[in-house]
Amino acid sequence: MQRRLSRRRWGGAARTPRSPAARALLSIAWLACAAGCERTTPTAPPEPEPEPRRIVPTSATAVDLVTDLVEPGRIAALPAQAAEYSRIVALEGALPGTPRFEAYLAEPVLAHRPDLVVVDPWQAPDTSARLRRAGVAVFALPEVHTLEAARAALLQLGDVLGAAARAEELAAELDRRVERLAERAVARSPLRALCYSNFGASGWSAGSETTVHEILRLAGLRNAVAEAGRVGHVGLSFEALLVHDPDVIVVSRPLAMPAGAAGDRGGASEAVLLAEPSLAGLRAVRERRIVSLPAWLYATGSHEMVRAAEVLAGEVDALQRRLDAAPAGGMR
Amino acid sequence: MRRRLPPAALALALAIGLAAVLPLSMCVGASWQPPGTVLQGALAVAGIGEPLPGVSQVIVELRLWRALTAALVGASLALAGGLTQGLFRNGLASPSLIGVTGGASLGAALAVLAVGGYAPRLVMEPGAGAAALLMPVFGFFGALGATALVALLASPGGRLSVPTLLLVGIAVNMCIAGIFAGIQSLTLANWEASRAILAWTFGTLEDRSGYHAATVAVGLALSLAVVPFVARELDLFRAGEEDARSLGVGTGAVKALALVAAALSASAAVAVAGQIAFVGLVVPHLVRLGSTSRHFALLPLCALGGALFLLGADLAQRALLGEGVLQPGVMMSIVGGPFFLVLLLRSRKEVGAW
Amino acid sequence: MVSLLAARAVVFDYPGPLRALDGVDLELAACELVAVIGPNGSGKSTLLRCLSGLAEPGAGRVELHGRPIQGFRDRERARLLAMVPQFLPALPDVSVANFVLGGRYAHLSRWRGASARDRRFVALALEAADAAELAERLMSELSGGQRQRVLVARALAQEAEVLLVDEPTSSLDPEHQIRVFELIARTAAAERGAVVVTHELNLASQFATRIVLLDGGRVAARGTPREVLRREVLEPVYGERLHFGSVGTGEQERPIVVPWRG
Repeated sequence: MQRRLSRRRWGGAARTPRSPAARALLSIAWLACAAGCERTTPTAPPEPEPEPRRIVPTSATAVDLVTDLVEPGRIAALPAQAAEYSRIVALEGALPGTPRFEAYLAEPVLAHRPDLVVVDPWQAPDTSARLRRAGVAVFALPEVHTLEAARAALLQLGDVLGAAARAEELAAELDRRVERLAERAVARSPLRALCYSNFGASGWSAGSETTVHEILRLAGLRNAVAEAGRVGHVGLSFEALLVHDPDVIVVSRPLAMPAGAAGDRGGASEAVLLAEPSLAGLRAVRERRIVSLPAWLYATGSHEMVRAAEVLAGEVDALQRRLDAAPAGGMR
Repeated sequence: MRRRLPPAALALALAIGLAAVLPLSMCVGASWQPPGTVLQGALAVAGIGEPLPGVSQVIVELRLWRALTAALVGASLALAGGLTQGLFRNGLASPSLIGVTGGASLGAALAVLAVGGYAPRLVMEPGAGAAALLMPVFGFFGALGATALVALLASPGGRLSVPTLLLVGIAVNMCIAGIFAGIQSLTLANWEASRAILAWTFGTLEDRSGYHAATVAVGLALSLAVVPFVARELDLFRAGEEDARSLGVGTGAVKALALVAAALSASAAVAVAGQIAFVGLVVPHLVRLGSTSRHFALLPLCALGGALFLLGADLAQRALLGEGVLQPGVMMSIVGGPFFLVLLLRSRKEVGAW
Repeated sequence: MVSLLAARAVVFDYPGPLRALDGVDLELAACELVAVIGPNGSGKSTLLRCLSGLAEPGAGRVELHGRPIQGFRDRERARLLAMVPQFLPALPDVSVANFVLGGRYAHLSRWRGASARDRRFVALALEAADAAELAERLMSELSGGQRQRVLVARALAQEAEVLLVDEPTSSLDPEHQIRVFELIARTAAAERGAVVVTHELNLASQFATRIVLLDGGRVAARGTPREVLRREVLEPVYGERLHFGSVGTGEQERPIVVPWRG
């Protein structure tokens, strides 16, 4: 009896406990530790090949960059949803021969046997980790809010894809287009604009440090919301809209709606602006100073922001012409 | 615990509080509008006196509808909470149990799908401004639909059974959450749409207009009209449903009425303002602590208290943290969560009996 | 004589199926106190619930004043028939006076609150049930026995003709046991009727006009206390460990039955 007691007091700690419940708890704890350790054990990530031939981009931005840098034959698969918000929407054919995968998860991506996966910085880090463990090189794009960052991302990815020459070419082209935009912008008096999004619940806009802000800037417009000191994506109430009193409001046009559909070019956001009684006196609403961008351009995070700025500049010029041609007193 | 205040005294206090907070809430905003301006603008809406010059009138009107909507939403949610707690005979019940919040979320998500271009034909109405109306309308019918489904499934053999109501409510809420998640995954790539759906779940009192306020007012009025028909009966329910029946209470009719009233006011509120949790849970308890448990006084006091509660919390949050920092749903969760915990700890005895 | 309350060939099944009542007849006439006795599980409480209209029999019918009880509207029925349950599933957070006032529900108009007359009824009912001093206490503060008296008071406040009482003495001391039965008997005697389910064979012996013995969902015996509380009748139902005797003489003589190990 004495012996058993002393064993329990001094040696019991190192033994597995007798009760099944405690044992189950310990097993679960051990499994959890093992799983956690697996995650944090550092292993060298696989190096990308000099010229990958089975590239898989996993976000709209990645699709933009990859499809502009390499020929379709080198792309193994495209992300189904994200691809609709990328530049291949504007391309003829939109790469119908390339298979699609639904979600950024290890298994569907691995099924296409990629040798390089290009991801956005915020995308599922554990999927990326799993792909790396499976021996696939994963390249994470840098954060892109400005044109410089987009240009740098283009050049960086060009190196990784073995398409450095093409990347240089594209970068030079971008520079030329930006210059032309700047020239056109000078000819126009600087208009105060803001972007607006409202699906029926609350209004949203974008301040500085967003790609939309950059698009406005490239198109030669002033971002009224950024000038008021707001940063990032912010809520915009009707009251704030009235106070800002912009010259132009930029909205996005949903993908499913063809451009120029009668009476509803700007989709829901424009409909809300036009229907809201308290905004009836707003100059931008009264004079229909609302321009729309296709959704994929409005939301782009890649070098296609230059194209967005070009489209926007075109729309603003068309708006300006319409307003100039209108009889005094504004147009209905 | 002894009752603190007689109901009439509490009602007076709440009314006075509301009369003070309502105009104050209109003064606070992106820019401070002095009370005189606010009053003039508000009267002008009713057709009395001169409107303010230029955009100031519009701004005051926007703030008026916002404040009214907040007060009415708070009142509706608290009233629905009082009715639900009386129906379930349980202080931990809230309107979301009967499927209102889940159904409204689903309706709102479907509305976003429609205006987000997933159903182009719906949005092709020229100039109809469909989007602004679509969300509250879809939300309202979604909420009512979910509650109707729950009530139907909880009435085996035509009689509403309250314990079954609880279980069916939980099950239906889970199903709705699954469909809601499915819709969210559908719109993942369209970040405007997915943000719109997500933002709805935080609640919004911003940009509410006259017809929003009117919708909630109608729901509230209908529910208040039901109160005299169920108040005494809900009191008698507390000793048990069969006991109430033996005293002569028509329990089937009372349950149906209470359920319909709670569903109406909660649906209208959630459809207009999104998910605002805890008002329906917390305010009836505060009223019981402060005054009375008798439903004839409790229910109207809940409405008054709920109005002051939401309006006051919204005002405090805007004044202290500035505009647009916290959505009302988030603010209520931050305040309500700990309160709910305290409530659970206090009623540990009853919880042990589950 | 038209019976106040009658059960005719009542059959009741619980889901299972479990047959709780198998063709039970019972009649209650005015000024009667019928005691329903029987071993545990014999269907006494179920019979009471069927008699009160809260449970609908699978077959057979229950008649109140000659009309089927399911045909009555709840309020109408509550004015004629009051139930004293054995215990409440939940205790409301009210004072005793307000609780007993709840018994006036069937008499109150929706729009006017309780009148002075209602409150007088409540006071009288509390006094009759020996619970007048409890009027201002909270229901949650009462002991088991006090609660039972308050339940009886509420049934009295209902001003009903028929009292259905389920085990009114389980938590009471002997003095109060007698008082409650006296109260019920007095009430029944005043042109009303009462059906009391009880385990207290000796109280039934003293106060019941008739006794109905249930066993396994059927009526095993019915009659006056002297006819039913006899060895030949009770032993087949309750078993042999009973001791029989009597108290009182002549007209006042009543049989007593005591569980006795022997």
